[in-house]
This record gives sequence, C-alpha cells and structure tokens, in this order.
Amino acid sequence: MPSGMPDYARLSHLAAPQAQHPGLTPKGRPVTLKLTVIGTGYLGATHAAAMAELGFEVLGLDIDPAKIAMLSAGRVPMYEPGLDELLARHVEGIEGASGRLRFTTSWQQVAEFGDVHFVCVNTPQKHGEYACDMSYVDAAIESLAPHLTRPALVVGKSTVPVGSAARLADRIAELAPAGDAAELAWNPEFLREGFAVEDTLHPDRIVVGVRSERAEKLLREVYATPVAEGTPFVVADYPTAELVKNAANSFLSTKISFINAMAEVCEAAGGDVVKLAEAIGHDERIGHKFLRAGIGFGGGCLPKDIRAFMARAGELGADQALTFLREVDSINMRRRGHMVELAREACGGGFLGKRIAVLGATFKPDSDDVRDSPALNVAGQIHLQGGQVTVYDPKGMENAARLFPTLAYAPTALDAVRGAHVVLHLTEWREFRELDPAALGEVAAIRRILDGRNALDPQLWRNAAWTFRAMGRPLA
Amino acid sequence: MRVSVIGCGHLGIPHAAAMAELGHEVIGVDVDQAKVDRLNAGECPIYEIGLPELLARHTADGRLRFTTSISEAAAFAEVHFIGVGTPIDADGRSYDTGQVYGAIRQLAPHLDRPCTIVGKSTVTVGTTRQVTALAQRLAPAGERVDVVWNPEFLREGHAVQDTLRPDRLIAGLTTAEAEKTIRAVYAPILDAGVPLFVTDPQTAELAKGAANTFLGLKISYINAVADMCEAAGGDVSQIVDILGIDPRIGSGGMRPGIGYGGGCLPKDVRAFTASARQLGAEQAAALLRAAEQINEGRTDVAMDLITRALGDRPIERARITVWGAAFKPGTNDVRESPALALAHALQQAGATITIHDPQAVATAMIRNPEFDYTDDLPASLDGADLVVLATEWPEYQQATPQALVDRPASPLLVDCRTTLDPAPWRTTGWTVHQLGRPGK
Ligand SMILES: NC(=O)c1ccc[n+]([C@@H]2O[C@H](COP(=O)([O-])OP(=O)(O)OC[C@H]3O[C@@H](n4cnc5c(N)ncnc54)[C@H](O)[C@@H]3O)[C@@H](O)[C@H]2O)c1
Ligand SMILES: NC(=O)c1ccc[n+]([C@@H]2O[C@H](COP(=O)([O-])OP(=O)(O)OC[C@H]3O[C@@H](n4cnc5c(N)ncnc54)[C@H](O)[C@@H]3O)[C@@H](O)[C@H]2O)c1
Repeated sequence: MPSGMPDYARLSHLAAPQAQHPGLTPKGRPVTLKLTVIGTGYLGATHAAAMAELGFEVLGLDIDPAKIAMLSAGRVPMYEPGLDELLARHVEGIEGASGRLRFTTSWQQVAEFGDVHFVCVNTPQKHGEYACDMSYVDAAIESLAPHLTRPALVVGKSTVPVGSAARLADRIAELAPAGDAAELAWNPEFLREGFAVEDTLHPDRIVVGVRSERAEKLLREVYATPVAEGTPFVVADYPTAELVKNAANSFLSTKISFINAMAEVCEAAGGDVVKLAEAIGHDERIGHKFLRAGIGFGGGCLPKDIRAFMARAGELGADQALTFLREVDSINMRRRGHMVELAREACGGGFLGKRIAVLGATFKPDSDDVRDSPALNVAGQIHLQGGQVTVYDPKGMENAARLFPTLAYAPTALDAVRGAHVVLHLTEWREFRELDPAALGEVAAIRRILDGRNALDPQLWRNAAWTFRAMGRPLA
Repeated sequence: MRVSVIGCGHLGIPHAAAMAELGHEVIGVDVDQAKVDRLNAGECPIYEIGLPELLARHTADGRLRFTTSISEAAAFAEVHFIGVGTPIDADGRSYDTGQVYGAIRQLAPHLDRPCTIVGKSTVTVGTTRQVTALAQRLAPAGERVDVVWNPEFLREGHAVQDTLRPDRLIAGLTTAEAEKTIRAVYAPILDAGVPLFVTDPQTAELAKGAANTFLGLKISYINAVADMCEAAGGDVSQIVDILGIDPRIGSGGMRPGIGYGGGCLPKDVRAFTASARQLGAEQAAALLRAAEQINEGRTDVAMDLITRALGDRPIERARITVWGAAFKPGTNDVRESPALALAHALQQAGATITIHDPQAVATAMIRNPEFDYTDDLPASLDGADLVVLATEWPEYQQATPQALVDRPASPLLVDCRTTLDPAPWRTTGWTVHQLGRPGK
C-alpha cells in the first residue's frame, strides 16, 4: 500500500479562515447553499469540515451525543492528518474560526437548515452474514425525510449495495412533505483514511448518480471548487454510481490478494515477491500501487465492501463474481494466519513463555483506525495461543486497547521490543522505517524480526546482526 | 558483440533483427530450413509492423544472417538467446518445454569456450536451474557456461517497438559475470533509460507468468463487473472510465467483453495456475482458476445477450454475422480467439454464420473452415437477422451506420466489446445492445 504522509504542501495553500460567513466560491460568488452532514464518523466529520473549508455553511448531525459534543468543541474524535486544523478554522465558537461549521443532534434543525443533506452513516457487514447492514442508512432516511418540508437534495455518500438508491428514493417520495421537491442523489466517496482531508478537498474524481438536472446542478455548485481545479465530474445513473464504488474496492482487494498469491508462490518456488512486483509494476496496465505483498488488507471498508458486493452478486444471480471475490477474501484472511505461523516458527515452534513485540496496530499507517486490522488480529491470535504480546503504535493505541484490553501496550517501539524474542512489523508507519536496528538490538532478547509489510530494508537490519524475514522473500 | 538467436518465430525474428539494429553481429538459428531460406533472402515470414524493413536492412548490411546449423552458431557467438516455442502440454495445463531442452541438448556439446545462454521463452518456474545443470553437464566448457533467464514481454503487433524500447528488462541470474554480459548486450536500451531488474532466476521466471496472470485477472475482474451491470442496470463503460482515473487501478488492459484470447495469455494463465497448484500454493491457484472460469464463461454471457436480443425469433433459424475473427484488433492471429469461440457456439445453437474480419480471414479460414468468411464489411451484413461485434477493430467504430442499415434483414446489432458509440446507430434505425450496458 502506498504510504508516506499526506501532501501538506497541497494543504498549506488553504485560504486563511474568513471571518465573514458565508464564504465565496472560486469565482468570488457568495456561497448560498447550506449543507448538512448526517453521520459524523471518519467520512462525515471530514466531509463536513472540508465543505466548510470550501466556503459553505455546514451543520453536522450524529446520533452519538458524545461525538457531537467533541466536534462542537473543535476536537476530532479520531486521528486524521489535517482534520484538527480544519475544525479549528471553522467550528463556531472557536476563537478566530469562521463559524461556518456547527453540529447538532436535532433532525428538525437539520431539515430546516439544509438545501443539500449528505448521508455519511456507517454501512457495516451484517452480523453473521456477508451482506451489507443498511439499517443505519434506512434509519437516517426515516428520521430525515418526514422533516423535509422545503426543497432539498439528499445525497448518499455511504457505500451501499447496488439498488439501494432507487429504493431510498421511493422512501423519500413517500415520507417527505415537500413531495417531488425532495430528491435523492448518490455520490460515492473514494477518500482514503490518512489522506481524507486531501482527498476530499482535491478528489481524483467526483461521481454523481442522479435522476434530474436539478440534482446535477446542485452538486456541480457544491463541488465547484474542485471541478474548477480540474477534477473530473462524472454524471451517471444510480446503479452505476453505486457499482463504481463496489467495483473500485473489489479491484483494489483483488490487486492486493493477487500480489499476496504471488508471495505464496514465491515462497514455494524460492522467488522474491518484492523484485517481482517492481518488475511487473512497470507495465502501465499493472502499475506499482497496491502491489505490496504482506499480511493483507483490513479496515472498515475493503473487507466488508467485497463481502457486500459478493452477497449482492449472489442475489442478482451474477454468481461468477462471487467465487472470484471469495478467493480474494480467503487469500486475504489467510495472510494473517500465515504471519502467525511464521512467528511461531521464529519462536521455535510455540508461543508459550515467549515475548513478542508487535509494531503497528492500525489497519494502515497515518490513521488511528483499528477496525478489522490485520496487525491487531495477528497480535490477538498470538496472545490467545499463549504468547506475551506487547504492542506499540504511533496513533492507534487507544483504539486498540479498547478492542483488545488484554494485550500489553508500550509507549515506544523501543519499550515494546525490550526483552522480545521476536519482533513483528505489521503496520508500515514511516516511524518504523526510521528505527535504528542497532539500538533495538541492544534491548531485544533475540535479534529476530519478521516484516509483515515488506516495507523495511532487509540489509539495514541484517547489517545490525538481526535475523530478518519478510513475506514472499528469500531468507537471506 | 556476437550473438545467436535460437528459434526464429514471433519472438525470435524480431529479437534477432533488433539485436542487429543495436549494433551486434547476429546469427539466427531455426530447425525449419524453408524459414531460414526466406529469412536469408530478407523476407519476413510473420506480420509485424516495421519488421520487414529491419530484416532487409540488416541482412543487407551483413550484420544478420540465418542458419540451421547450431554448431555454426556455437562457434560464432558469445551470447545465445533461446526463443523457441513453449506450447501448452498435452495435459492442456502446463508448458511443454521440450523445445527448450531440445535446443540446449543440440547447442551445449558445441560450447567449448565461456559463453552466456539467455533464455527468453516463457517457462515454468525452476526451468533455469535445470537448464543450467544440463548445459553445464553437456558443454566442454562446463561451468564457464552461464545461464540467464530474461523473459520477453513483447506484444504481438508491437514486437519491434517493444523489443527496442521495452517497459523494463528482467534478468534472472546467479553470477556477476552474467550481469555484465546482460548489461553489455542491452547497453543501448539501458542507456536510453529502460530499467533493468536483476534478480534470481526463479523470480524472473515467475515475473513473466505473474504479469500475464495479472492482465488476465484484470480482464476477468471487469467482466465480473459487466455481469453485475447486466444484472443491476449499470453501465460498465462508464465504470471503466471512472476507475481509470484512480492511479491504483488504471484503465489500461481493462476491456470488458467476451474475454481474453490469443497464443499467450490463456496458456500463460493456465500454466501459471498449474504451477501454483504443483508448488502447493493452493489459494493462489484457486484465485487464478476463478479468473479463468470467468473467462471461460464469457461465451455463455454473450449467447444470453444475443438470445435476448433476438426476442421471439429462434436462434436455430437466425442468420448471424460475426464481426471479427482475430483474438484482438491489430493482428491476424486467431489462436484461442473469443470471437471464433462465440461463432462456434452460435453455430452449435443452429444459427447460420458469416464472419467478417479486416485482416484475419485467411488465418481463420485455415483454423475454422466450417464458417463463411468475407472481408467486405457491407456485404457481410446481407440478409443477416443480427450482427455481433466480437473483435473491436477500428473499422467497426468508423463504419457509417446510415450506409449499412438497409443491408441486413433486420438492423439488430449486439456489441460484445462495448466500444461503439450507440447513438449514431440508433438514430439511423439500428437496434443496439451492448454487453454490460443494459438500457443504454
Ligand atoms: N472510512 C473511510 O475511509 C470511507 C471511505 C469511503 C467510504 N466510506 C463509507 O462511508 C460510510 C461511513 O463510514 P465511516 O468510516 O465514516 O463510518 P463511522 O462508523 O466512522 O461513522 C458513521 C457515523 O454515523 C453515525 N450514525 C449511525 N447511524 C446514524 C443515524 N441514523 N443518523 C445519524 N448518524 C448516524 C455513527 O454514530 C457514526 O458516527 C460507510 O458506508 C463507508 O463504507 C468510508
Ligand atoms: N509471441 C509472443 O507474443 C510472445 C511474447 C512473449 C513471450 N513469448 C514466448 O516466446 C516463446 C516463443 O514464442 P513464439 O510465439 O515466437 O513461438 P513460435 O512458434 O512462433 O517460434 C518458435 C520457433 O522455434 C523454432 N524451434 C523449435 N525448436 C528449435 C530448435 N531446437 N532449434 C532452433 N529452432 C527451434 C521453431 O521452428 C519456431 O520457428 C514462447 O515461450 C512464448 O511463450 C511469445
């Protein structure tokens, strides 16, 4: 996975906070549209702040009062580079802020305030099933629509199974007092956690699934700034807009599982998957990105999205997509087990009485998100099998400790490694690439490291007398 | 340098000519006397843009000649490229490397001084190690014979350009001496900035299979998405455009339709899958197999669409024109062509088939004489109940729908490659169905 920090250079040109509100469009026209954001998690909080940055007056709503209280005080409920600055610039009541961004738990207030309502609530995997749990989206629509007494555009951003938008449009038509004047559009979100602010302000592309010119016009107005910067604005129908998000995530998953399958073959045949990836990535039809073998993908999106896509394919009778993605999923899940096996081998066949240092807890670097994190999953498995696991992560410790309270956590990488029989590198934070192997070697019980992300430089570690092993690479 | 190229086919001829173009003295070897004679006369036995000129130039300036005598090549050259064929085995799944070992057995006994054998053919992982052992056992020079694997990534139709300016070069080798040789033989290409990846032989062997397998996977993936579009009412062409903007995805090689074909991709995916299974990488094999299954199912998907397009007209009595026979546009190669596979399925279902192709009629006629062929585009439509676009030649995108609409019995077009702009066809009276774009 591409790592490195977000491009702060691109963020730094952001205009100084404007005291007056509303703001101005790039053409200097006053922004008149009022926006609301429903569901202020990773996606919603970022979207709300970014819309305020673009000059809109924004009202965010969540059913979680604690989250709303935090956001109203300008505090970010999660780690996302650049987001705290953005909140500080715009949340009402903060000194020097534009005041364009406010939060509430009142549906009525939201309905009265907004011309455009972005729905950003979660769509997790259904318990015990592959399908997507639409109950949060459904609940949001059921709560909002009866209050829509004036013309409004509801814009779904959550990732949903194809067919949902058509169904929800019918529901809005039934419930909204405004009748035809309340409409629905679908506008899938492609942001990457860790780059969320950057991706929302300067997206690669904007896709809108609409049924009317009015909806298209409103969304063009909302996204006037990125469109003026050259971001493609693609107008599609509902199913295409829904599918394109499913398709993008299933492709990325496929690419990761493909290279992990190659790692499996390389291990069996004595090849080097890192060299292989470098060589084939030069073909522009393949590309280097997402071609890093390791312990696989995780997080709140990819795993659940491919499963939901499979489930929907099954419902629609497009069964071939099913088997294909099932293999992608199972290759991915097996990577975690494989890492545990490599660690067991490194511990001499069993974890009992062994100390294992785990570097990384989040599902990817530059985030504090530990949802379905491969790193934590591996740490947890080893712990359950009797290993003494100590975890260190630059940003994810609090979330990790909440999810796995029985693991030990150390305040620094050095402390985690102290006395360890084996070190596992499981999330590719830049900080870990900058570690000094010699210094760590001083405190480790045994100088043995497994790189589950193929991100460390083997030579550096071997030079400092570490036994270094990475997935899909030769032993020395 | 003095180099030989052993095996002069789709890979070997362009490679030999390109080596001469780089300034080397080249001797090409093939077992086929007739082919060697033609080549020595400066004639080009395969269709490749720019190749006849290159051959003529260097057979004339004396830098390039061809022979059937492998001992002559052994005496002449210090680098021996192996470009013989590796067709698929009788079991239908793994490579038949008989020609590779055959060439080594003929060459090695003549190698009495230090030299480098550079394998270019696509082979199963582990072949280099065995070839090295065999060559060193048979050669009087013994261990002073080095073996390198340097897989070829050229695309048919672009062979000259891809050989002279590849995206990258990969060399799987085990000695510093061999790396020096590779750098010397490709010096002009490397100087022009083409990256060289030096690695171990296994990685080099795997990289070729992995690259083709990924490309197959990408096509099968977008075909699965096309099926979802068919089922849910999306538009796969628009999805391809949108995905293409994402640098992690890229639209290159993402062509929805009736699947991949040709002499390389299907066999390389099959062989790679088989070798993954043999190595015990079961999960990898299962994923690749799933990709193959999607590809194998494409004919059925197209048949469904055609049946739906025909409505209540029975396929048994339908006269169907198939546009395209080549496995892809820009070539006359019909090996494992999805277009011909579809034509075959339609004929099995009872339809009467006429095939049009701008370049591949002659090659297709040899392989599938059971169909009627024409290279006259308007005439191909005469009396047809339905026309299927099966290979996306530019000729079809550039055709004038207005001028063609009166030729068929009914102006009904099924675009299985989803490359046409349907608007001008529809406004001139055609009914158009596109795979992966229902209702568009
Ligand atoms: N996180 C990402 O990187 C990302 C990227 C692209 C798309 N998405 C999609 O965006 C959606 C949201 O993802 P997230 O990661 O932000 O989830 P999240 O869990 O961080 O946030 C969801 C928020 O919605 C709130 N919520 C739930 N039900 C609600 C209701 N009825 N009314 C109002 N608020 C409600 C929750 O309290 C929570 O704060 C999902 O569909 C996800 O697939 C996420
Ligand atoms: N065609 C392509 O686009 C392409 C691209 C990349 C890699 N490859 C690989 O390159 C290899 C060659 O493919 P091709 O398409 O050129 O095959 P081909 O069948 O066109 O050519 C092989 C040639 O080798 C000759 N030959 C066989 N045994 C010989 C021997 N002992 N000594 C001398 N000559 C001998 C044959 O007579 C024939 O002319 C295969 O492994 C293929 O997978 C091909």
